[in-house]
Amino acid sequence: MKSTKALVLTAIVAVVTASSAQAQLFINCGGAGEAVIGASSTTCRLTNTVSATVPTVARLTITSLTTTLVAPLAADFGTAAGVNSAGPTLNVKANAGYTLTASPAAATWSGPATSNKQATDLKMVVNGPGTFVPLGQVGTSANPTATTDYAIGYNTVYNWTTDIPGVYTLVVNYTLTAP
Amino acid sequence: MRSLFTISITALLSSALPGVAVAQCNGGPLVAGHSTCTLAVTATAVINTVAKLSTTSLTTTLTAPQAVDFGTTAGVTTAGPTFTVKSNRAFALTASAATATWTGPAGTSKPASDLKMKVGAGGTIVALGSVGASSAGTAGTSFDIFYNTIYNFATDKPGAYSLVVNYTLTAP
Repeated sequence: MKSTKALVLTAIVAVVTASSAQAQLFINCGGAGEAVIGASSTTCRLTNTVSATVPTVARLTITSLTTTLVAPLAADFGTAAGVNSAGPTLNVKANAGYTLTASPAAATWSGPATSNKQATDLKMVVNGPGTFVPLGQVGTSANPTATTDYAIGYNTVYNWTTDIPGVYTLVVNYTLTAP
Repeated sequence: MRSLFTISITALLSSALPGVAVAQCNGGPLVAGHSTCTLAVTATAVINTVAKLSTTSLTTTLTAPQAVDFGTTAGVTTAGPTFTVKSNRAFALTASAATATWTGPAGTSKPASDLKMKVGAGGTIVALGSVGASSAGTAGTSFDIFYNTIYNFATDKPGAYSLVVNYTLTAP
């Protein structure tokens, strides 16, 4: 009898309690091992930290891998003025400082037998007009660049005694370095 | 007064019918000879709006970019975490960058907008925003996140970068 009375009272209390309650909004964020940085009655938030390691990167491109020099005339031999020819344009993209240099791959040109034409007979100018200088530094920057062009102009000196008729070639290396 | 009267009647019946069980129903009649009575109890439950958001990982390490990845709109895609929503009503899940720029090497200011996302491997790459929404509850809906990152020669100096992405679950 006592237990029955207790049940009745409990039921009444439960009904009264439920009737006075109002629906609430609960959002539970995450589970074990998950961080919750913010939660309220209407929103919850989890974070995802995205990490990237950006290496030093650079790109060097060129408009042409070969250049055919303007054929010299008799008047061009034995003069310091030499003969000008348009060369390629190099483009640098880098996310750090860089240096671009030009250098001959050999001390002498490849040419007819017994020829010994010096690599120093080829000079260059960058983004001319300007003064032709020996192959060397093309450009440098302490800062990154999205795109920088270097237009190369060549100047070739010809000599009566060393430049016998024939076909001559010289490989020029363009080297991009990140200091 | 009434309770006293009820008690007295109960006592009287108990004494008049020794050995007979008597159940007392609240406010109801007492019936001699019956050992049980039935009461209708109304059980009321208040179910709140509840939702749960979980993730497979709190961090994502992006694929290191190559030189060819810089200056392109294609970017570099990396698999990110999976978020699971459980909700007993409509919900919306959104992603947003916690800051306008990435944390990175000194002097850098990589925009947060360089990080894009797609939901599901076959999704479309879009800016951070809506991940998913439903007009009904769900016992478990997963959203696979893929990140796509744009890199720029001029702004993305070598170094370590990080960006916090907030995933917010709301019950509209």
